[in-house]
Amino acid sequence: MAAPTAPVQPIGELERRLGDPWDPANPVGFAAVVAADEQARPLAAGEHILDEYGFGAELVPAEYGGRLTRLDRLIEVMRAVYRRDPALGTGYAAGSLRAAMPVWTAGTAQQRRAVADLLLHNGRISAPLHEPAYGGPTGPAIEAVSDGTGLVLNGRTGPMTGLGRAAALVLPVRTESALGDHPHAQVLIGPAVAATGMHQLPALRTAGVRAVTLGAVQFRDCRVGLDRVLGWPQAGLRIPSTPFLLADPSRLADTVLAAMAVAIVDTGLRTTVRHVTTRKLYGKADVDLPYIRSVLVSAFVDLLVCDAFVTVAARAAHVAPAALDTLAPAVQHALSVRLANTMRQLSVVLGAHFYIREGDRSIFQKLLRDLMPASLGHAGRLSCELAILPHLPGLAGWKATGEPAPPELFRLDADLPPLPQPTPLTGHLPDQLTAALTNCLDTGSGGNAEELRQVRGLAEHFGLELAGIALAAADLPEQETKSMAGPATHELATRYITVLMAGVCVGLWQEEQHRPGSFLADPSWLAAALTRLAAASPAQPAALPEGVEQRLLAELLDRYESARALGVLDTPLAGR
Amino acid sequence: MTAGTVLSLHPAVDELDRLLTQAAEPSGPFAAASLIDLDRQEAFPADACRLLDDFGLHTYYVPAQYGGRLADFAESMRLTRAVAARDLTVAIAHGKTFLGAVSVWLGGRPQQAAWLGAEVCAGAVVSWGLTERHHGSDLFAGELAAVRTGSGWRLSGEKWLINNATRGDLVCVLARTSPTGGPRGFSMFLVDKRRLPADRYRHLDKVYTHGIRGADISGIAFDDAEIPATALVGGVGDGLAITLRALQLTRTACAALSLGAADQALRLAVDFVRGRRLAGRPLAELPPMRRLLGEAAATLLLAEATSLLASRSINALTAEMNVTAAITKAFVPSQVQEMLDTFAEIIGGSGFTAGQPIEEAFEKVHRDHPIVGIFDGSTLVSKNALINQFPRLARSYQDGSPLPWDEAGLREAATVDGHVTEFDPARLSLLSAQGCSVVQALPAAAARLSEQAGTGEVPVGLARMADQLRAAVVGLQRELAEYVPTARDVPAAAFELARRYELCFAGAACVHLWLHNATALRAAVPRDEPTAALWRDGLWLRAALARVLDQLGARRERADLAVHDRLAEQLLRHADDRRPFSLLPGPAAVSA
Repeated sequence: MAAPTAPVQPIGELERRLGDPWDPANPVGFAAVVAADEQARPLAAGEHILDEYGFGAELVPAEYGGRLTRLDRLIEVMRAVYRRDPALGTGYAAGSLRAAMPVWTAGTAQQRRAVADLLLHNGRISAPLHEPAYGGPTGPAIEAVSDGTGLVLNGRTGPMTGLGRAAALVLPVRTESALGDHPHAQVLIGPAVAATGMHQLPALRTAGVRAVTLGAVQFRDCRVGLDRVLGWPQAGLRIPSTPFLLADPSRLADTVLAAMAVAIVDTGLRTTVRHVTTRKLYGKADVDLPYIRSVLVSAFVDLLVCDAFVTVAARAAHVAPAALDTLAPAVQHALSVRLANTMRQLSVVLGAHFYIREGDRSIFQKLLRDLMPASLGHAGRLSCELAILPHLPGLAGWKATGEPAPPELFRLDADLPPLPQPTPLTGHLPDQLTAALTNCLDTGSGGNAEELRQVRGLAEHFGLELAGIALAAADLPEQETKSMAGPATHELATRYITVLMAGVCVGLWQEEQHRPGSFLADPSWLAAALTRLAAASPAQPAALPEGVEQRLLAELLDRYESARALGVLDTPLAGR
Repeated sequence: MTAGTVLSLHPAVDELDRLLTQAAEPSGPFAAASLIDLDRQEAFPADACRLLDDFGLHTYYVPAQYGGRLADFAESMRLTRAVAARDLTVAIAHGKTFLGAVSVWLGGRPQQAAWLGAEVCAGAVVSWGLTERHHGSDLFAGELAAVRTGSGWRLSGEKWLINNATRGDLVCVLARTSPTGGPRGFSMFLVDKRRLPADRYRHLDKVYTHGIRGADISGIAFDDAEIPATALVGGVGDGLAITLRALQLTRTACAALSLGAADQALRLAVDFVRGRRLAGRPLAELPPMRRLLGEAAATLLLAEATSLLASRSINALTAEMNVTAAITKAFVPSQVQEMLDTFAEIIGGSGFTAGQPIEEAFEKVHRDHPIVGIFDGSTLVSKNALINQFPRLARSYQDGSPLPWDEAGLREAATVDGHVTEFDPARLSLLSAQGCSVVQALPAAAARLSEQAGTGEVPVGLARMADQLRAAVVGLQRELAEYVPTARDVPAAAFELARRYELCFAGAACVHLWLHNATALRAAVPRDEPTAALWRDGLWLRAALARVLDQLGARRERADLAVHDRLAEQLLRHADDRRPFSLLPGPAAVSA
């Protein structure tokens, strides 16, 4: 029984509706966004646009009448929102995203249809946004005990958005023995269910995403039927039509939200470019000052590198869903470290103008406060490292058989397989990403010979780095892959993440050789990316060869002038 | 063992610290919850400032010769730090008066300075009007003009983004006195707003800011305001020269704000990791978290050492302050900002602060602190100022060997309880004639440390690190000698040289402080004092140098990094102490 299909919107439709962000008269322009933030109220005009666009359909799989087919496509659509106002994204989309994913991955057909119906009619659903990264006191702790015919819930959820308007909640609960073998489960609670024993807690204040009202729910002896449990009674194997739905749903949501950091910093960089192309210090436009240029170019490279990483991870979810268990924390860690640093570097260029909450640079300080809560704040770098540690000892054992990662990972406009492929290398996908480093030597005919030489040298450096990590990790005692692992071991994890990123960049560039003349096919960006990744610390601007810096600056300014996104895809944007 | 000058270094600082601790009780003006509330309302922290007035902090903004208590700049910076450790908004709002008045201390007539001194000691608030809306920090582009009249001057124009422009009773204004501008085209005027007709000036609206939200950041516009001839500070055309010399003092003083912010952040971080859990364990037990805490503590000590030496240099190495101030202003706020950003990921990552005192307090200081790297000469402006000194600094070494430096001045600057030479403003210059004694003295200092390692007085590792630093300095000086200054388009590589020079200065400052104080401090401070543990076995020096060498990209020894873990241990052990984590002994060290 196919549900009616929503009309497919081309990417850019939402962007078009949001309009020119710099237009002071635009009710969803930056001026309006900042004004709403000042008053800590939601951007009503923005929500209206999302309603009219039918955003909910983006979160519903095609088989249930929505438009969700590919994770990277979802990311592109959501980025239109987060480039404009991360609080709008958090308030409108993030809660529904977190709530919907478990329904598609674990719910029964009936549950999925009910949720799809809600979302397709612009309804909202909500789930706790996340657990605080470092064990804050607001962690979810809902216990579910069986009373023979149903579950009795006690405890409190973590912070949630949109409680006032949510038509359904998806909540993680600890079930212990209440459901046989499953110590955890998710329950889907709608307003139709008797809401006795459930009440909202007072709204919480936030520093960032101020327009978002957070609440939590307290349960006291609240009874729910077993049919409220996602997937009940068959909480078992299914083969979804979309392979990425085999992945851990929270990893999926994590990856999508991490990708939003790229959108937020895109606007941050764009704002800074706007500032330096109009301002003068000591008689010259700032953009003509060499140091400023190097900071701008470094920021652009940061975006390219981070976008490459998260985009490939999103595509990897289709090819090898289990790989997200390693890739998602790696992505969160990398983007958290690099993009927070990027914003700090840009704030130094903006100087006093970053600190003032008026004028057309004022969007920057809002983005600075929004960045972590809207996209990465819950990840916790330490947790991400701990998630990767168990993977390290096996690195030495995985032979570089020369088998690279599937090329469709890197071919950004290619379709992704519709059915899951059983692949024996599923667990090694992250390692396949680094195979590109050794394969790099044969690639690339066009372009500057000197730059190609640089690229190969850097790829070789990363190959050696990987070998070094594998060697060091091979001897790790078991306790060094757990919570008491020492700082040196944690450093192996962070170095490994950097190697993964290098591999991804090389893989992307190699695949782009099929489109000679494109920006990504040119070795300049890759030379810059690998140089930046190889630097001891991202805290300083990258020291790039003159030609490389010029090429990247030209591309950055061109994209700024022609309003195109600053990631691996130069998506057209509204306004200038 | 005597409780002498070493233990009670600055009694006023100890007294202020005690007062502030008391005032931080739940209903006091420095209660954390109340300061956060004021910030949320963007309201001025008047009660807190009044408390500081009652203490007499404002008298430390006035030199002794003009009726105040300012004599030892290290002391006044420690006072500012004590306030900043509670709240940056208050420290900045109250401390601004020093910035407003300093031009008069340096360039004013004696009667003018004495008059202003009396006004400030009586509670007058003074502001400094330098910047304008469309010109940022480019003072040469200032448009506010002063035109001579029969009885004095007439001011027209606006100053914008000025701290205390509205609250201030007086404002020191930099005005264009020659239409063509240029280095001699500006003059400084001390404008008494209380004497101006109300229709000749107006306040500009409060500018709402990312942090220090309760501060009065506004502006002032003059509409043909007549001021007397006596309002001129110094001579006509002296404005920029006075400003540049004044900035040598204020940029150095800013470091105290960063140190206070770091004190807050470190205390909050310690509280946080003791109370929260991850992977089933208290955060404080996880090795990478300890390492991170230790590195942060090392950063604080490095920043403190740099600031201490810089503050004492105002009195002792006055002629080198243009270099010292530029380095201090570029280095200290950046180091502290990095530390805050690292903590922000842990304490503030999720962004949910409500009802969590630690998260709320941290979130505020994280928003407040960046202003220190922006105002009074931003980080980039300060780095440019240092880069402008490169030719002279390059000449301070020849063939890998330093030229003679001011040994007596350095000795005084580096001895924490040493004699304080009376500050002589006439010795402030715009060019450092002999370079930078701190950096020039480093090879000799490294050699002395080697000797101490030879006799077992310090661990061998310490001498090795000092030698690595020496090698870094020699390498840097070689590159400086090759650097070709350009009038425009300062290359990005020059900023990298500046970064390394700052680090070398900071590292050298640490070594000098060690050599001049270790023996005395280790003898005088009781063993169970937290400070004693820092000086034992050169722990603090090793950790600070590890931070420096790490940022210089030098090879890292595992043993050096493990020193950070020992620092973390110290921090956690004394967590309930509530005393600042410092190289200098605190109030409790004073024996009866």
